[in-house]
Amino acid sequence: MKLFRTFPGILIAAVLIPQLAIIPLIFTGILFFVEDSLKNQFVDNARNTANILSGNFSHLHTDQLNQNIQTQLQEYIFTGHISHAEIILNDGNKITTEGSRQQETKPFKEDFLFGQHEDNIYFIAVPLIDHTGEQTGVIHLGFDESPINKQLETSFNRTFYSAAALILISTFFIVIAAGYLSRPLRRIRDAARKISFQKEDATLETNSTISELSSLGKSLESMRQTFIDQHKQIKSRESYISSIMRNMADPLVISNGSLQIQTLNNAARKMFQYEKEEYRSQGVDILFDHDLIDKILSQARNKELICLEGSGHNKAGDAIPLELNISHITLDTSELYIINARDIRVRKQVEQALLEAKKHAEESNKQKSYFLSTMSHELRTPMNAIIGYSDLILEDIDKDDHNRSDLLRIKKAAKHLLDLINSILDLSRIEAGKMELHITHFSINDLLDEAVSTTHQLVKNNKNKLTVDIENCSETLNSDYLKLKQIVINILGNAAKFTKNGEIQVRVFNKKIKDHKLLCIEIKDTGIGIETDRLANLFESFTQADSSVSRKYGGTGLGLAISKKLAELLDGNIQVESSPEKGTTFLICVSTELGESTSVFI
Amino acid sequence: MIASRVRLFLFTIVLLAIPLETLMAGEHELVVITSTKNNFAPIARDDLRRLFLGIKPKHTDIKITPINNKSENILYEVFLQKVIRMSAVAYERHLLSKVFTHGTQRIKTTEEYANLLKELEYNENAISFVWANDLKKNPDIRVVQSIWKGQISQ
Repeated sequence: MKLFRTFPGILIAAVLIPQLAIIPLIFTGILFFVEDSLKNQFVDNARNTANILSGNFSHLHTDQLNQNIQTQLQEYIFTGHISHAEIILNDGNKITTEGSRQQETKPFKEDFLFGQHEDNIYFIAVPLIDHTGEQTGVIHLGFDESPINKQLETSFNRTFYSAAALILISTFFIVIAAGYLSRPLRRIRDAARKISFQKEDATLETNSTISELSSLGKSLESMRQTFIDQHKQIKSRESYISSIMRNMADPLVISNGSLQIQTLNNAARKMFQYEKEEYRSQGVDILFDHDLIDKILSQARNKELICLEGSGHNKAGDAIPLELNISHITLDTSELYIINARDIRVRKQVEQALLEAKKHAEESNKQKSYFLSTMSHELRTPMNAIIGYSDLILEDIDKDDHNRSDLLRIKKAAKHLLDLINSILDLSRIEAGKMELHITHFSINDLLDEAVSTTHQLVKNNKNKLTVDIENCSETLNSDYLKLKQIVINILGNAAKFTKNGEIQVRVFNKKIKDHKLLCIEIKDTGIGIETDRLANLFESFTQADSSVSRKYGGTGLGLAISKKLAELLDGNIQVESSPEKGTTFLICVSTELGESTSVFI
Repeated sequence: MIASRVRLFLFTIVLLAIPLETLMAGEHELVVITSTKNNFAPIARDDLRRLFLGIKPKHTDIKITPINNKSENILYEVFLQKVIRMSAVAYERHLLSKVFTHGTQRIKTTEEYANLLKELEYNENAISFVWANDLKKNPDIRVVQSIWKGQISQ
């Protein structure tokens, strides 16, 4: 039965079963036809012969009768038309013709059908009539039926052998054809087996000349190539991911839903001191403390990512403070916990160090504040005394007194030193973030009037022309009045100082950057200008365009540095453009909308 | 072995095809019958043959209509052997050839005994053949002559 579940078996069955069903039908049909035909011919021949003999023997004289009959019957027997003949006369005499066969063993029984009797002889009785028309006797003729039976048997055998030969030849060709058809399929099957054992060199090409099988082979081969490519891609991706995982600097623990370890990467193995596969199928309790595991179970389930801190331990039992980033994912029906366990011993130490540093810094800051307040008082007090007493002496001595010029120098030097101390203290305060803003609502006109008034003498001394132009802008703003005035006086003072017989233009306008409203004060002079390479560090402390400048024009070199920091404090900036010998333009922009109650500490 | 079995099978079929009556041995007499409305004399054996072959008889001018009786196979075969001297197939072929080559009307044939009697009653010049034993008393039918008398045995 197994055969009929194979390709050749099905083919054989498909061809042979109909053959086995049809051939006997054809075979029987042929036999019936042949048999009927032969028997009919035989009976026809027998009856015709009987008719001829009957005709021949009629109307003869009685004396001629026996002679003629014997002669003719012998002739018929010799030529094989009849097998035996005998004459039964009316008087009861029986004359057997020479050459007759089997007349003793086969008694006469007239046949009307072929094979009616089992004597193998077809008997016919022919009346013997003389010339007067009287019946003088009967001739018994016998026709041998056995040649017909032999002929039928031969026909049967021939038909049977032909049918058998047909079936055998068909089977032979079917087996060959089935083999021819199934060989490529077997080749595909063998190749598929090899492929299933991951032998990728096996080809599914059939090389068959049968187009369907060839096409099938090509399609399967194409499919195999696609699978191999995809397999390679998957392997490559797997290797890529595995390599990343393995070589991640952070320790990675992957466990199933029951928190049994599936994978530890190199960093995790190193941290927890486990060898390869040693941890496999063990619970995460070999890595994490129970408190931490409880947290994982209660908090991490069905969460994309949570961060936990807790304690773990290595194989030797040494405690490790850990920060865990845990993702809980579900793949098909299995759950996974992906745990990124970071050793935070160093971070904890750094945190501790930072706390100590902060404490130390706070202590230092206190000391610095104390130092600044002390120095502010301790430095300013003697300077104010020097300036004050210089003024008092100057009031008392004559204008012609030769000491007056010395006193003026002392006062000037003391004032310069006080300015310097004030500037240093301002800068220190700004850098220490101790500069406090006092936001008020004020008029820009008032501020400019005061600044112009302060710098008026200097402008006049250098014979400069000062113009102030306030464009269509909001005249009031929320900012720190004193700080902005300090910036404007500083820049305007510089313009007046470095410009002689020139022109100074002050222009005020509003500017909007995104939703940020700015008030801009442009101060443009026609003074000595600044070299381009010096513009870059113009706003650094103790920097002037040229060292010769301080000698010629004076100044501490802190003004622009302080102005810039103050402008930044007012949520603004200062920009500068300059050409040597042509003049300099400073653009001060500050926010107009600093909160009234805002106190910003930087 | 298979051949002998097939032969046995074929023989069985042949036996079954033979009507049961033919297997029964007994005295039979084949007679020619006709309607009582005519007064035909017995017909010579040769003329009888000619009539049933569709050929004009030699010894009589009376128009006689032969009717073949195929109501019983063995009866028909005995008639063919004793009168026509042909096999059934050859006789049929002959009758057909007469129709197609000479355009004559085919000799009537009946397969029902009752129909045969009706035909004979209807056509007073018709003749046919039956077993004498089967011929029941019928005032319209008479026996013209006996053709053959003998045993039909297996």
